[in-house]
Amino acid sequence: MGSVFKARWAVCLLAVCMAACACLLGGCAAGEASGGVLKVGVRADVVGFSSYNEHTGKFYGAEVDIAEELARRLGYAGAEFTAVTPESREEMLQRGAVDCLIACYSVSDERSELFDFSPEYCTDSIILVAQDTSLIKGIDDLGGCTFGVMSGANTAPQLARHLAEVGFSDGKQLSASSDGCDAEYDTWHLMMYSSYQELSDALESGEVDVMACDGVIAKAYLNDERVILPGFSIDPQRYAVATQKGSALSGRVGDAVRGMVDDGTVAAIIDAWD
Amino acid sequence: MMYRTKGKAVILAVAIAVSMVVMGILLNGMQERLQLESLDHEIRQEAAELPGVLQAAADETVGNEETFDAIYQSKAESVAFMARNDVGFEASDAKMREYKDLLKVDNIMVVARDGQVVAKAADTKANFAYDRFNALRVTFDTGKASDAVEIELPERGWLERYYACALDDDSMVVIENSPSELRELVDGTSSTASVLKDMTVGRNGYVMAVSARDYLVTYSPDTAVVGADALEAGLDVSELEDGNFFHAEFNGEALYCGVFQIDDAYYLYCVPEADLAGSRAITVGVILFVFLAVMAAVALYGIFVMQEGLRAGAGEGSVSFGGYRYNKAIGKKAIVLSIVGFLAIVGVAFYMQTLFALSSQAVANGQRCAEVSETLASNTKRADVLEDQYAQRYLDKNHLAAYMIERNPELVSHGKLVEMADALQVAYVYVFDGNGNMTASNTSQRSYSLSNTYGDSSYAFRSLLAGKDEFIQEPSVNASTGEVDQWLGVALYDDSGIASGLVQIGVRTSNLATLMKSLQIDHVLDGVKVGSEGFAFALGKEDDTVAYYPNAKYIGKSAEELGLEKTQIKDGFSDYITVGGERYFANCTELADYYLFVAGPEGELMAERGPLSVATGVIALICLLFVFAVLSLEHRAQGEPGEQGRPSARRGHRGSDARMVNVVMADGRTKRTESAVSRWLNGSMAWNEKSPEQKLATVIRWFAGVGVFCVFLAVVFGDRVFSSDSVFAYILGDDWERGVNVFAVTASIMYACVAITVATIAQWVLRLLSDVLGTRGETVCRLLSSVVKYGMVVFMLYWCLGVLGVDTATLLASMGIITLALSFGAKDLITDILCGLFIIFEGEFRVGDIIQVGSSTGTVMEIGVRTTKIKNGAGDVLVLRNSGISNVVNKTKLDSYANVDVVIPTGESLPYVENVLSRELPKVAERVPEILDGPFYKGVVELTDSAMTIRVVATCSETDRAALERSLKREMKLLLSRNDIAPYQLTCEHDEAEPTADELMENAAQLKEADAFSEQQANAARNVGNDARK
Repeated sequence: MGSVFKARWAVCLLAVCMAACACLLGGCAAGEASGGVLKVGVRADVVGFSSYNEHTGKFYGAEVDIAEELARRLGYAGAEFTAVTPESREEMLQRGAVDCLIACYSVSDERSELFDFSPEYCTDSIILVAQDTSLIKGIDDLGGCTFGVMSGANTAPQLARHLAEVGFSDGKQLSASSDGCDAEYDTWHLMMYSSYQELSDALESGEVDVMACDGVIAKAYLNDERVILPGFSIDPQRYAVATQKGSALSGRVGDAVRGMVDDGTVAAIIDAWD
Repeated sequence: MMYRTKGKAVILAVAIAVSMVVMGILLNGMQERLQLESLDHEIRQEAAELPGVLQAAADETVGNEETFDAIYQSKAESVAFMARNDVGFEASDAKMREYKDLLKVDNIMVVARDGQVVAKAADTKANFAYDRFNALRVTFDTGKASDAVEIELPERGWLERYYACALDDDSMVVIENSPSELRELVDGTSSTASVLKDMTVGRNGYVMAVSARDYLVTYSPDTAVVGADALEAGLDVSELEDGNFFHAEFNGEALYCGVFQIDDAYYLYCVPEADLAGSRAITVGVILFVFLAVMAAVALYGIFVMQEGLRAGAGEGSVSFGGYRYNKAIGKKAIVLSIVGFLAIVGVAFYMQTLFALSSQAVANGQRCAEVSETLASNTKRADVLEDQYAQRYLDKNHLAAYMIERNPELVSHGKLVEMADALQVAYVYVFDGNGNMTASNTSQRSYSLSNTYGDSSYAFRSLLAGKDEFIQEPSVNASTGEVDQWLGVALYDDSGIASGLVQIGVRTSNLATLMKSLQIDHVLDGVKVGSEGFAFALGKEDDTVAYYPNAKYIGKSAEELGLEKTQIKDGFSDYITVGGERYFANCTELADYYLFVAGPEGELMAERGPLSVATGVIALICLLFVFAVLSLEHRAQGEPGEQGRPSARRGHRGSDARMVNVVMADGRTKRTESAVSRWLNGSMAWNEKSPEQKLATVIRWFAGVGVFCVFLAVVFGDRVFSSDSVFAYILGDDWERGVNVFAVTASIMYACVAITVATIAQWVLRLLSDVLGTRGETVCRLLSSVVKYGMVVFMLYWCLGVLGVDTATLLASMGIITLALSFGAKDLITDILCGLFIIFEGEFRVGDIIQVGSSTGTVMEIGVRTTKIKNGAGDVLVLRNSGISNVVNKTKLDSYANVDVVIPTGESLPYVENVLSRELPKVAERVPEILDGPFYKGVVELTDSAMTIRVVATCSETDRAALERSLKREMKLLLSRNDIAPYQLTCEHDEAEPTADELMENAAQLKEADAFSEQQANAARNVGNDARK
């Protein structure tokens, strides 16, 4: 009986030791990533910044190039890309599925509490796009209109705040559907869509009267029959690289991005894709 | 010395290899640069015009949209008109369905101002309550039909255009119709694709459009590429900047591209690199091959001469300067070869450039012609379709007018008809009663009656009263307004279904006319570009006047005024033309109504030719100079013996198989030639036996052989290697003009190469056969071989003359007549000329040969067209007519034999004589230097009861034979006398006593004196008294 006990103790000890070793090794791998790959979360649907091509299975765009340059500067062998959506990206970074986000992810106070941000590599602003047959010419024609936004992006709160600031609305949400995708405000209505294509289709069919999104994204969905409403923009959207709060990577990423911005690398990349 | 020759050979080989590489790289680079420069120029020129062209297309698209919208707006207004004028309108689904059929639209609805659908013919996906449709509600303010609202959601299968017209303050009629017809029209005539489709760059280049927003290919001539991701296909995003020129790989095809950005699109002018490289590769390849052949020939010849000099013991003259010695013998020959080679290289370079420039232009022109005629053919079809479409549309309006009038006869009044014409958007509405008299119209005309006279334009409308339902008249020019109007009519029926009158409408066909214009030949040809300056023009077929020309001042002029000749105006023409004082290379194609010309200016074509030929020449000159220097100069080493010993008179290899012979030309120069027998032997000569010239000839033959065989392969297997639109295929095709032009010459050369290869192979097979067959077989084989040779020559002559534009059939016929005519006057002359040709072809003898014709023997000085000149031993020149030269004995051989027969009495002891000869003959050989071998005792050649004749022979050269025979006879006399052989003994009796020493000495001194005299006399009379070489 005693020998059985002893054997069990030995197995336990061994397991603990192995676990410790694994932790150590894991720690080493995380801390000193030199030679490995940098796992980057990028968008799959923002043409020009990062879009996924089904034929080649690769991502293309300015953010992709920035990520590769970043990985090079940090001493990685390369960058590995994972598609993220506005809804999933925060969770994926928190979970560690990706090392960082370079995904048209803009800096905000709320987000800064959750993640570390590098200096911004690009700035943008939220704009409104309408069909010209709706005869909406400016913000004055928007009373009672339906605004379409991308769910998961921070466009909706910013839009609500901005509309309140300019005196268009009192900013209070009157009602909302259970998933929050269909909300009613005093002078306007909010609809959320899970992809930009759906958002654009809703604008085409008339379900939404105006589409609110980041300028770079809106550009991809402009055509002859759509207009950007003049005199409306929510500035600035500062796109930056997000890393886990307090991670060892944060500082190095910040330095590398600052370096890339300072020496004109980022400007050159964005210019090439413009 | 041997070591030095080898060293030089290595230096030369390296030099040739290096110069080949340099030449290849330089030529390739230069040609590429010139090509790209001219492409850049062309692309920039086209790109500068692009914005204007695109703007025009965009304007046309807007026009097309307006026209399309107007049709449906008019339908909406018609419904509104009916609603307002009590034509049985009601807001019910049934009525909507009736209107849907009547108006031929996809769906028709009555919609309230707030977007509520009141009545509909079919379900709609649209929610008119959305702001998206605010543009439709504008009709409530204007009272007119609204602008169109288009919704395009292909994923939901939703592509519709909406038009509205207010019925009253709170409801409007909405027409829903698919714009697919409009899309087709725009795609075909005014879309970006339809504009870019006609654009070309270089020969096979094209324009591709890539969206600057998402990098998708929006247009490419290859429809499979349209919609593909340009970046995925291989373009680099950083290259896509306005005004950038770059090389890229696109979809696996290497391209040279120029990018221009206009608004939200990149326009890429793409030229396949394979096109550029293809023409480069063949041109550069051929030039390099000739360059290699020339360089190798010069260098090898020098080396052969050096080797020969070594063997013969280099005794040639040389000039020394500095530390170097210039070898005159090699130098002179190398200079001649170099000059000829240089000319050959420059000539070939120039020729190849011309050939490729012209043929690729011809190919490009041909392609353009084919494209234009295709476009025109499809346009003709389109025009028919368009006419039908418009006629149907007008007819619909007419039926609608009849529908309204039948339901509300009160509309037949001037005021209502004006409104109706407005709603229907037609110029005129006339209503006639059952007698053909006008009851009302929208015009100010008081009365009008349809004509009763057959042939009048309005008479035809009476058929509507006679049971016909509808009638469409061809468009005609209105005499009073000058506009093109088209008139249509539809019968009106009373309740019992009897024709009770008719409604006639008149429409302005300007829209149709505008559309039709875009399909006309001038519109099509306007977009045709060949290179940066090339263009297309057309001649009317009936009167040969210019129907279209880019410069309007030529339009309407006759072909002669333009500078064209009658022979140039035909289908398939492809050659130079002169138009307006400028030379163009043009192709002509016959179309249904026109002769279409596509022309490229000569200057542009030939831009590359000059610089490239000059560059080739300069490089070749430098290389040849270097090779020349290496060959003819050698470092003078101290202490080296200048002479390598005298050439020995007795050559190492002797005998009947020696095939090289020295001949003395009439002017005294000695040359080596092949012996007469050897020329007709099948077996080839051992390399070392050949003279440098023969070795050179062999080397050149090798090169020529390789070249000819390559051309042969290319011709035979060309269609598998080269695509059908390649330059090569063009030359082999028969599309060029017969005549003396670069294509015909090239084709002749190529066909000749094929024939030569075939004939050579046939001859080779026959030769192999003759080796294994018996003598009879060999006879047949040699005969066949000869037949093959002459057959080939005659066939090629006939064929190539045909290719060069000579009418061979006529030529043959006229030859007969000429021969007949000449046979009376100058029969012999013709015979002489033909015989001369055959002497050369058959190779009976060459200049320098020793031949015997009849009784005359001599050295051939010259083989002329009519006569052959022979110099005989006496220095006389015999002029023989070629026809008179028959039964030729060609005596050109390595060695002749001098034979001397000596008659000795039968009583003499033969063994004694033979012993004497065996002792004495070697001494004779020493005393007579002309003897190459021998003398040999041949034995008794004649025997009678009193005398026997013995023969002694010695080998010598043919030129020495007569003299040697004399010397031999003398020697025989001396040796016979010395040995007291009857009857040649000095005294008549046998003297048994030994001669004293004094006597011996005296005899020896005497003999020496006689020898000296004989030799001196022979030399003095060398050129005298040599008749018949005795």
